[in-house]
Amino acid sequence: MAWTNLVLTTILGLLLALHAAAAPEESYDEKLKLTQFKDGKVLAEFYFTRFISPSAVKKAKDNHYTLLPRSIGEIIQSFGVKELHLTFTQGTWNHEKWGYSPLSAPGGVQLWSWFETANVDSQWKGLTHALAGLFCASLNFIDQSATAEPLLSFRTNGTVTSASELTESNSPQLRYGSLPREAVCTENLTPWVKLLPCQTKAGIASLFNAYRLFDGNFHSMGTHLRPICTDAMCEQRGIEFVQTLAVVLDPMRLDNRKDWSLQTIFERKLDSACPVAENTQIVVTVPETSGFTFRPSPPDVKQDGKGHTIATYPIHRETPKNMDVGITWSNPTVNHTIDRTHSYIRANRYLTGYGGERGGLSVDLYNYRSSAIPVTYFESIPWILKLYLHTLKVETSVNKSTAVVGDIFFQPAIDRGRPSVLEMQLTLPPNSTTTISIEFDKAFVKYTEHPPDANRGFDIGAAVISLRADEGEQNTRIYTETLLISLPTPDFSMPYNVITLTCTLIALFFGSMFNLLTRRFEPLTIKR
Amino acid sequence: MDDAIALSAMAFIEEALEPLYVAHRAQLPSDPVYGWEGEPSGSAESFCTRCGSTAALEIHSRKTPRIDPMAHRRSIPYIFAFLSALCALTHTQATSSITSDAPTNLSLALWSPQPDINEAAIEGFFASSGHTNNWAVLVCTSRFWFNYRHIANTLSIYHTVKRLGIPDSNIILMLSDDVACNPRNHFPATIYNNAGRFIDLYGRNVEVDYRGYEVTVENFIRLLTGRHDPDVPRSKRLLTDDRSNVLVYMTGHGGDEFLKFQDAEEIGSHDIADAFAQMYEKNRYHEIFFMIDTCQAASMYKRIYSPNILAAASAEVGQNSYSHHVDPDIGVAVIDRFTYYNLETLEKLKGEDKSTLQQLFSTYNTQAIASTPGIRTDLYPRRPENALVTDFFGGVQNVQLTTAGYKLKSGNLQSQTLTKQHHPSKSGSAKRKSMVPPSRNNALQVHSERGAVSLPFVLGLMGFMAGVWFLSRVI
Amino acid sequence: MSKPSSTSFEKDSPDISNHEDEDPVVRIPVWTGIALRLALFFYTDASSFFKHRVETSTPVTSWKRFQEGLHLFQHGLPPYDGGVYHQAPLLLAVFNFLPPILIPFLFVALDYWIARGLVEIASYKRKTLQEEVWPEPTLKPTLLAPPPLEEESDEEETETPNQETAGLNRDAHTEQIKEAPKGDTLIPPWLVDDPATLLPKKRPKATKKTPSQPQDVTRPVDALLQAEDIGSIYLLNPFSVMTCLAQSTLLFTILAVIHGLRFAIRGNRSLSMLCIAIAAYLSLYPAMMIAPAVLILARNSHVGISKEMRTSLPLFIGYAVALLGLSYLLIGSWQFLESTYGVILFVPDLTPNIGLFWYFFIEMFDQFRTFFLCVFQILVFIFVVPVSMVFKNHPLFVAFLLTAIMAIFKSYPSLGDTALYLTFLSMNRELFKYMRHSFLVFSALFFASVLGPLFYYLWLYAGSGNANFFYAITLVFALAQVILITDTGFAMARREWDRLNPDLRTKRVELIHR
Repeated sequence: MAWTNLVLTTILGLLLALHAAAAPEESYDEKLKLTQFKDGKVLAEFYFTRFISPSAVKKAKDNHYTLLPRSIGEIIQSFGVKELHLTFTQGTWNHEKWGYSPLSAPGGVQLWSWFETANVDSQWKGLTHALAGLFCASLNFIDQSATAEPLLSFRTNGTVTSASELTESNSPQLRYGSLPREAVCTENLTPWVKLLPCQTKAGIASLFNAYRLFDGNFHSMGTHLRPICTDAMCEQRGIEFVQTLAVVLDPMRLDNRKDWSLQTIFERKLDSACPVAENTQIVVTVPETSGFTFRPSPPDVKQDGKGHTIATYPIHRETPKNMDVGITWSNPTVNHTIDRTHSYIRANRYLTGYGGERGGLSVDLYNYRSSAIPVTYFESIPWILKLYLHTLKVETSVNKSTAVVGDIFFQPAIDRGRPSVLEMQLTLPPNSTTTISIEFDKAFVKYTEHPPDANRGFDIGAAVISLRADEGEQNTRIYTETLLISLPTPDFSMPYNVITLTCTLIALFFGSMFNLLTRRFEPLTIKR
Repeated sequence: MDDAIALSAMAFIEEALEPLYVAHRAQLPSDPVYGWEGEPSGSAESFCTRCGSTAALEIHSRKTPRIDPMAHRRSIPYIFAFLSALCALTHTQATSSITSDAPTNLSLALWSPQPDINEAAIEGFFASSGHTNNWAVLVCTSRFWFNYRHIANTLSIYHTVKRLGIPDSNIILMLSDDVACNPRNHFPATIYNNAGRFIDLYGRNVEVDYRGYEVTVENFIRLLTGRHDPDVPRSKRLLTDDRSNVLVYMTGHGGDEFLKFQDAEEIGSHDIADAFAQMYEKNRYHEIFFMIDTCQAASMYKRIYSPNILAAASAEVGQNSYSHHVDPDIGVAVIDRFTYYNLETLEKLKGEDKSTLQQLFSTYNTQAIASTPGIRTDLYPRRPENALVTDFFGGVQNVQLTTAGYKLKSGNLQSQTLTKQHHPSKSGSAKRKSMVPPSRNNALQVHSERGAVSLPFVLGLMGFMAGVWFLSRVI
Repeated sequence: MSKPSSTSFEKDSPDISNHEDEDPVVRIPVWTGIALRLALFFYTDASSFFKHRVETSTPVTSWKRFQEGLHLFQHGLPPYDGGVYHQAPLLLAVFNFLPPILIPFLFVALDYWIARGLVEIASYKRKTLQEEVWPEPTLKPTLLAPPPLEEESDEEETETPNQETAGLNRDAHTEQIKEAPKGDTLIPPWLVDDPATLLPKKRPKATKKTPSQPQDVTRPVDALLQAEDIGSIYLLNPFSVMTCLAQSTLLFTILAVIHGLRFAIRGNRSLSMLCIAIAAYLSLYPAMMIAPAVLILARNSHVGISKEMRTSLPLFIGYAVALLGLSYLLIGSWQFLESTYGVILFVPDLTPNIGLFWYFFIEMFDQFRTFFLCVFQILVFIFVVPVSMVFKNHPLFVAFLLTAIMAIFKSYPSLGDTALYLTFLSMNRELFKYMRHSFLVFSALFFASVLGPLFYYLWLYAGSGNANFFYAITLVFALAQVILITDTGFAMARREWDRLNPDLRTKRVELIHR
């Protein structure tokens, strides 16, 4: 048998060599970015990036999946999804203290995707249901009464359908939906983690500890899929599939120390690199230039010129197992000041008015820079609030030299049919506060349309402010808070009573009128 | 000559696939509850109890990695060889046996029959209770933080059935509220059913199929009867057949012949009875064990009229069911009495346990439970002494790994064909898409103010005025 | 048929301006109401207060929603593509070019026109009341108290009443009349409180110019209708003041209805049908007002009702279609149909109002919604034909009944509807003496009007009440109005019976209704 083994091994070796010489079909990278802020909190951003080449995409169409998870691949194929972004978030991102991150997301669930197929509405419904089953979430509540179609926000990153594929019926269409109230817990993390090639057995995902992840000040899991053109005419398209997880942990709260390491914040150490990953690295950023020590000493440290020190730890086979990365500080005090150069724009949304009939919605946009910032404001308000466009006001705190408001796009809500959509292009004057306000009437919804805990109220999804970036960069989006509004409730114990009382009245009326109209007076007796 | 080639090929293949066996076994989670992570602090029974050698068991220990990442790569050359051998063999077989009576079935070509396998034992796999798969429908109908114990009840049963072998794909878990990641929970992402906090029921591997507002009476009945919107994903469907044993466990607040769902609606005992009747008509179950832990729970199974249903309830009509104890750190009661005492028995079971349901029922102590549990057996064909607990709580697969072959009876041979394995995907239910009316999304640009009265209108108006004037003169 | 023998009745066209020495009533001119409105508009905050009240503004008449629709229309967005604006398209054309400063004046002017129309209708009513034929009984009764006027007879009733009845008599069952004892003199009930009987000296003497008391003492004496008063009653009615201050677009509908009747009184068929068509176009339910308009037109032109219908109905349909066509030209699509009439008929917007629909359909289960919706809508329309048939000689009473039914049972009623039919009621003053439940009705209306806003506040602002409170008040309000309608209906029937059964007028008759 030995000679057969030898022959087979040589054959195999040749095949493998040929395989290696071919263009890389799929690649997988892992990256962990740890940033400690001045107030001591640590932001951990996990990026699991997969690039699927066009030939691998074709194979996927024949049910041949390697790095792209089969469940995701089948979903995007069945529903004609070109680009997909799904985030599960708990908490509110604090722009003032934590700056901006591409992983900041609005509370609850946010789903937006571009379709290039006909019957986008039924595809969208199918997509939400399929994702609901995959991620154990109730995404099926994103139906037509909660779906919007933004016109200016959430544009794709330039990769459009190739000219040969573009037809009337499948020009790309965008759908956006959000569930501000959706809880995010381990049952959402479990299937999300199972999509990773190494799951939590190796790689940076081995740091996942549900008890710490869900104890953070903010956590957000994201699933992002977008097409990447590999040639100039975009005839060949690959897929970039990125899974992200952002969590803000507070070593001051956990151990009462500013020092931290992976062990102290995650209760885990990095086991080993995922063998499927081509590059694994840990990047640690500190907003100081001195007063701390990286442990262990990083092979690459640099300053970025903005006062931050960045250390990079590439992880590969030779890296020792159970690696722990962290920082010790010589000065253990934390600083809660707000650095306006790094958080130069902020938004705050709130409700005004009182009573159960009407109210107002206001957004304050703060621009701390000394130059004007163009932004696009988008919000999708559920139909339970009837917005009055004629009460829309945009006011700035400074005298403006140029117009603040550009184009406005508005879609009034239809009861039980679609939400209100307000989208505006604004130019925020330098060093100013711009307030957008609009009045609304609260709708009186039917008894069955109230949620079971009706006295809690209804949630309104976050507004999205897209900073129109310079060319080449991706758009940065900041999200406002979600709002909670209480609608007047009927008496839930009363349906039968109401029906009987009103019908009694009607019967009384009808009976009397019927008698009046069909009967005649007749004298019966004549009394004294 | 054929036999010789077959035998030698087999030996070669066994040797070649040895590392793959090891890797495959290692992939079977030793603790199905904690799956891909280690350190469960409860019982960590080995799933694969017939694996045999201790060498195999060592692989299940927690310290070594769960997967040997290189295993599949090392066996690649052997797989190539195996496949090429396979091609050669099929070719020779096909060409040589066209006229023979021997079946061209590929599997039979490889496996030669061994006469010493106990046919009766294998036949007996399928005859003892009659079911071939297990499903569990676990419903918690209560919302709000103070009903923590109901969610803990449901998750305790979930933990038990998973431990005893029912996979997540066969469990429909319906939780009305999220208490693990509730801001009030002092221990985030955990749910305990004991003040000592021994086991985290939520763990790291939990799949909740219906959560929050989705747990409604309508969804529950649709689940049981199988009538869903075409877009409902697979994980939310009860895909049982006539050989499925189904455990239906419900807990929450109830009363005489009703059970409250989320404080907003109720399901009646007649509704449940009719849903089970529909299941019976559609052959959606082999046997059902209906377990319910609410106040006056026995009233809920009173109306069931379909056969093969066994029911157990925590309290008789007119009695309340009580919680067991409070965890002062969490602040609310963490488990109900009936479920607690059931778990005392269930947690001691192992996968292959032969305990009967009657033994479970006989552990019910009315004093300890503080209510009289009710059992209904009149619709059940077997006696509880003959029904195993694992018939409903376990997912015993009746699988025995063997290297020997088994000759099937001649009657089955001709009809057997190699059917392509069809794996409907999670989104495969979208084949028949529901009709969705087109959306009326129509955000338009708000233009600056302008006189919006169009010319046709002005002309029409003038014509109208002229008509009115004319008619008022004439008529 | 017998005619009253008095010759001093005026047979000319109705005398709008009465002489002051004739009727001891105070005449309130119309301009007082107008001045009140202007004062409240410009010197108080009442307008913005009432604009937001649910009693005066409903989803189909609210001024704020109209402003929203106008704003959308003027900025190039389709006004009917949303769930906010549900009012008729041609209103947009009316207000499109109107400067905002003139808007309160427009609404006050609308009220003024309504009042003027009401004055004309009231004078018509006065004329018809005077022309009403009351057959005289065969035996004239005597009065207990002197002195009778010279036209009256002095005979005593000595004979037993015979079995025959005189005049137009719908009822023929008199076999159960028992013999009256001899020497029986009875005071008819309406004369018991008559000043003529109690204070005979103050009774005015009959002159040539002034109408005298009717010769027939069995005929009820009604204070003559002052047309100007009716206009003022409407204008000074707090409900209509509130509606005007709220700038509710219901005023257009009321205006159209009143003028439909007004032109019908003048005999102008085309304009009458045009106004009714405008009213129906604006609110749908006033299409029912064709019935009283046709009745008036038929009477004025002395043609049969069916012939009148044959000429008027095509006019109505033609005008309605023309209005819809104009709306289509204005909006550019037929989308407005679903947003206006669809909302009125299918009630998707469940904002509270003083009607019965909103809470009923909030609490209704989805399976039964369509059924009850049909029942409720049919209830409104089904009374047109029977009421017009039964009361065909009293078209203004038909108008009263139909507007009252609309005010209670339309999908989005408001206090303006109530003000309208209360004005019609005030024209039918002759019925008051026949009404049996007036105290109950008017106290309940007052009670509901006061408690309604209070309970609404408790529910939505104070949070210490719930929706049932306000719902109960709407029930009380509706019940009061129902009793009012049935009471006046029976009063009219009773009065008609008295009119057509002269011999039984003076007897204490027990009537059954079968």
